[in-house]
Amino acid sequence: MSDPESALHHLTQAARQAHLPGDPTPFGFSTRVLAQVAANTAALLWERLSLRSLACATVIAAGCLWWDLTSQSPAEEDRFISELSTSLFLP
Amino acid sequence: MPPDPPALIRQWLDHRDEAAARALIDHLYPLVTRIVRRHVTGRENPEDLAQETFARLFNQLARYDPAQPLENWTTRLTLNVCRNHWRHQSRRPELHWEDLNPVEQNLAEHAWNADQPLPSSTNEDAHALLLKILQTLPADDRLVLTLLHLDEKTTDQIAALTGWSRTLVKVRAYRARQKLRQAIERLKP
Repeated sequence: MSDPESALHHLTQAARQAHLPGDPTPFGFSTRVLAQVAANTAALLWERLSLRSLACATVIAAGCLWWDLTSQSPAEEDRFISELSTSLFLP
Repeated sequence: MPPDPPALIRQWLDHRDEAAARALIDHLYPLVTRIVRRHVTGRENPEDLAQETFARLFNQLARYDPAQPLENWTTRLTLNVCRNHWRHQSRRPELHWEDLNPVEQNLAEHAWNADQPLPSSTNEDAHALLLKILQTLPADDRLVLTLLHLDEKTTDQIAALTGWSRTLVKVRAYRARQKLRQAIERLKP
């Protein structure tokens, strides 16, 4: 009876000599590969487009926010604050 | 006339020439299938993995550096596809003597008791059994053991193929080998 090391050695030695043929390309294989490449390319294009759209939308939203904050006149802001503070002390 | 891979690659990248792509596939197919069959069992759909490898190859072809051999680059790509496949595959928990079919049991018994190498008629069965045992190990362990024991690659070659450091290859191989030895121990008749 041998040890696991020896059993492993016998097994790997035989497995290394297993005949693994490098067959020629099967019929239709190239067509399937090229179809998958085309599908992957289209998906990648959509992904890039979506990411760019997201970046554009973020920039536009940030711009709108900035415009909204800066477009309020100081007087309008003061009136709002005074109204708010007055209403707080009303009975 | 033998194909000229760099010219075929250029034709595909510049003009999306499908004839060039088909010629490139025909040129690399034997190499890819040999690697896939060496590393995965028949039940793991080797042809699907070969297709996945080629799809990835064409998607990454623009990044290929013509200074390095195309065969090396393709080998690395194929191994990565195999490794990703193993990562997403559910691992067999453990393999015991009772889980083996009669042919495998006979072979395992032979391997345990043999003083001589196994007969050459059992080579394909031994390969299938070894892959079945390797299926119980994590993807990286399986990769390092296959490269080390089946492909007989050196530590340096494995480091170049996997992108791991030499030390990591050695440590991983040592630990993986211990796990493999335990897996073999469970197959004792």
